[in-house]
Amino acid sequence: MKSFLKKHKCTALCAAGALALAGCARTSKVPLAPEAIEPPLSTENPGADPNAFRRVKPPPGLPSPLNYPETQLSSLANGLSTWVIPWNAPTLSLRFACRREPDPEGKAGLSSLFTRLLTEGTKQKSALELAIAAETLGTILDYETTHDALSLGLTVLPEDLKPALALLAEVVRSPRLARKDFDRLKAERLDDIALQRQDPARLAWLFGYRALLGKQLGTSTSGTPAQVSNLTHGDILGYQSRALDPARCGLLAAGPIDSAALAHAAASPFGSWHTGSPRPGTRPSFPARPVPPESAAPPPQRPGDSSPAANRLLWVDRPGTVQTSLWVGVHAPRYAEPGHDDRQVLSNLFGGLFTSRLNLNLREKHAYTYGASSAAVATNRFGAFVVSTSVETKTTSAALSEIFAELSKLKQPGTLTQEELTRSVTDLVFNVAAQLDHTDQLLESATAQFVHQLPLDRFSRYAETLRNVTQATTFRETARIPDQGFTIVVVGDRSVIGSLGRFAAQEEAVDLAWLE
Amino acid sequence: MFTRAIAGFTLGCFSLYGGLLAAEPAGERSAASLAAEPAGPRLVWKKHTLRNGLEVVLHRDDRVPMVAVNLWYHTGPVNEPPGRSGFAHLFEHLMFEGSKHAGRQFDYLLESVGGTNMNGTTSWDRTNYYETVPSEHLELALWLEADRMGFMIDTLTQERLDVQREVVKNERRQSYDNRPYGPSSLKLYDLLFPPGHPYHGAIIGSMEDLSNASLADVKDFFARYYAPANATLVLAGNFDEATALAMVQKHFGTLAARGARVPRPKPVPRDLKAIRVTVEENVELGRITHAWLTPPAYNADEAALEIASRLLATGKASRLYQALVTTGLANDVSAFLDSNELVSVFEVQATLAGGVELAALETALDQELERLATHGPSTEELVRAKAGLRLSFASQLQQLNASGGEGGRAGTLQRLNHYLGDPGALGRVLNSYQQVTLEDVKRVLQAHLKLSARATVVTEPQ
Repeated sequence: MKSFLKKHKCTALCAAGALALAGCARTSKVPLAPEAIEPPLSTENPGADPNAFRRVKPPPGLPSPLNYPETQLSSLANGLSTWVIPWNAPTLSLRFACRREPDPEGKAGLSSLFTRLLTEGTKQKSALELAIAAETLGTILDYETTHDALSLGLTVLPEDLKPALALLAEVVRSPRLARKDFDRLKAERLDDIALQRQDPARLAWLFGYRALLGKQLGTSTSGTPAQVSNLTHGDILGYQSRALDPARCGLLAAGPIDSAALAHAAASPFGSWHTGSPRPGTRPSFPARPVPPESAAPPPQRPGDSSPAANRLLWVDRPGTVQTSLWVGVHAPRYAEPGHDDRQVLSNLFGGLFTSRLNLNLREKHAYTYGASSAAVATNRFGAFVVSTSVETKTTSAALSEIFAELSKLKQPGTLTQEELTRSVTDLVFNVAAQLDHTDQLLESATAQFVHQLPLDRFSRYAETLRNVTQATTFRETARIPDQGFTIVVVGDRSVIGSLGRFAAQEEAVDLAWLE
Repeated sequence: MFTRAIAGFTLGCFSLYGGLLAAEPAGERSAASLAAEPAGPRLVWKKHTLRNGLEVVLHRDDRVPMVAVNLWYHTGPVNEPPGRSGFAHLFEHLMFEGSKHAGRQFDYLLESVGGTNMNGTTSWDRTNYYETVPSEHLELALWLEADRMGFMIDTLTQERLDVQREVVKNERRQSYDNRPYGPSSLKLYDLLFPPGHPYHGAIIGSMEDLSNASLADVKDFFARYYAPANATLVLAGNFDEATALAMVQKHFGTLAARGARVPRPKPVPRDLKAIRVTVEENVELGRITHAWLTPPAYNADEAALEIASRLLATGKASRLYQALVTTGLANDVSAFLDSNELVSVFEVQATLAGGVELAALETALDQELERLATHGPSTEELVRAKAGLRLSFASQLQQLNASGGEGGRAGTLQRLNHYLGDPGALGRVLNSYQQVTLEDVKRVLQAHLKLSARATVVTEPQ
């Protein structure tokens, strides 16, 4: 394949063909303010124009029901919860996931390095033998660490359920965690971090999170060079018992399988697994509505800040670059706090849709950028409302002005129209529905339910739930966007851009060491 | 290698709109006719050719109430005139700028009704446009696509051309000029396709050529290449065939016949000598990329080359991962085959681990390439590679639109139709992978991946 993918996915270059591909018309977003897009009306006699019928937008046909399956929750004898989205598909996606605590102070990168190390062999198999076992099934043992969870995953043909579960269980129950592999992966991780920091857009996110959220929550899950260097093999072994425990982990599946079938197949490889304090026979139960986790941390305050805080602008000078990566962020509620759906709808109409306000302005009106977007980031421990874009260097100041003008406009009563609200809701609903296209995408729903303890009918009733989002409830969320107190990160050529003092009282120059 | 295998029987013509709209089905394949196909994923489809030359391929899949609309124009940078690199891609952007009857509301209307996976992409040989819509809004998507096929040029202004020109320039900055290893990737394609080659000039184009693109260029390109006869529409998903075809007739069949199917260019043999360039970039870790020119898409050796790429660098058990990454010489390694109409490109790329000398990595890389070419893979390796391909096809073919409109059910039908002229070639293509032998892998590596005939770009930190 040869292009960038749409929206929020513009960094998802396919390895194959990345070079040959020019790209897509839109990273996200396109054109026009609604009022400007009415098709032209002809004054000619319609009967004289064989194309007159084209002036009329076709009406919709009869809607078909969308039967998004409800997630099935159960548990094994040892308390390991199972989350299944049954769906008729030619593949079966499996994931073993555990809720994750933030890394201890000074140990940033610990949990993600641990997860990576899990794929380097078991007590029964070397790393190569483990890889061969997965690749014999045609698949690859995947791993991921997010702010809220660590996980291992496999996508296989449905008939390979049994060997796939056996493989996952072996990795979970008897990982090798060898010192020599740890040493090698530590070096690899330091290189990974270097690669991350080469990319100006990613750099903007690293500095933005660090400045906004503080050291513990705001440091990348990959860690920092100094902290990764200080990790020991003992840290990894000590983390194992804290991370992997049936009580905090789950087995997730999406595809042609139901809860009973998964429980039956998983009983042998996972059912007798016990660590820490097993809870045999425990059936997980989750609230009908999400509740804030107890460990949720309040937004960090910077010493000396007064209320309302002033904007804070960080400069990451990159002489000679032709584009500036911009990141503008502010604290927002965590996932479980009331109003989550309203915030998602708000962010989508502001900077998620191709036809969002931000994209229409920065890309389609001013051509400052290839794409501009916003995100209402919501984890179990923090939230952030973030605007990000990359703009031509000479337009940096003008682009920032437009971003703040759009933010200001968003807060003005009466500007949020029912039409854009409906467009945003419809887009969110059908993007969830589109997950039915692939079991890997469906598994993302099950993962969100596991990680955030969402109701089992969260996605099967998503359209109904979003009907509760109104202009009033959405606009109420704009009150959380302050007039001041934004964190602004500018990664670009400072000598060309010049002063950005009008956006913040103080401009701070930072370098990579600052991220420690 | 592959030939068109459709016997074809004629469907009754639609005449809802009189003679203007009559369809002329080119052929059809029924589910029953697939019984002789090899095991594996199957696509049942019907192909029609409208009077104005537009090809229409229909594939029903009723798992979800959605339809993928996937439209390919059989043109791309290969048809750019000299001095207009990047133009086909710029044109792709302009196709979202509106059309005479629908106005400038393409994305606005589709997002309003739940359209997803909407985009356009440009490759050397073709340009595609695709979206997935709820089934009840299929006609809306067809209306929008048909209107821009017929009347996009009527509303395009200099102002909108200028805006999209700047957007594309920012795309180039974001994707190449300001992205790690982006300048190196542009340099590699300069080496592979020097001036005079139909693929010369990056698909994204040079800033100078983008600046020179004019409204007259747009009108000329539209007239030459954006004709119904030079396009193929694929619908994949949950729809009633008769109703859908009637909609296609109404909106596309009524477009005036103009132009013709542009003859596909012939493969361009090129005798690539070993060539090597170093590019300094603002990066921490160096990288080396080798690229070979290989036969065009779907040639007789493609299946073996695809399997060779998997043997080399897909998964941790692969040859180069074991030789370079587990030994600490490289941070990452990849290998892939980029199939194109005139000539394909086989690439191997490795990023140096910190503190490693390039020579050490390069020696180990070449040794492994030579080892595989000399001794071939083991039977177990070949079995694993084929298993990976089987799963890969099963995985992507469950999607309606995927991989930039080149994958999924709709994209796969388009690819097969574009490169082989046969949307029904999937079974034979899948079979060709399963028939690859140990000897085939050795043979294609020796024939096409010679160390003395490759372009190499080394990225060094500034």
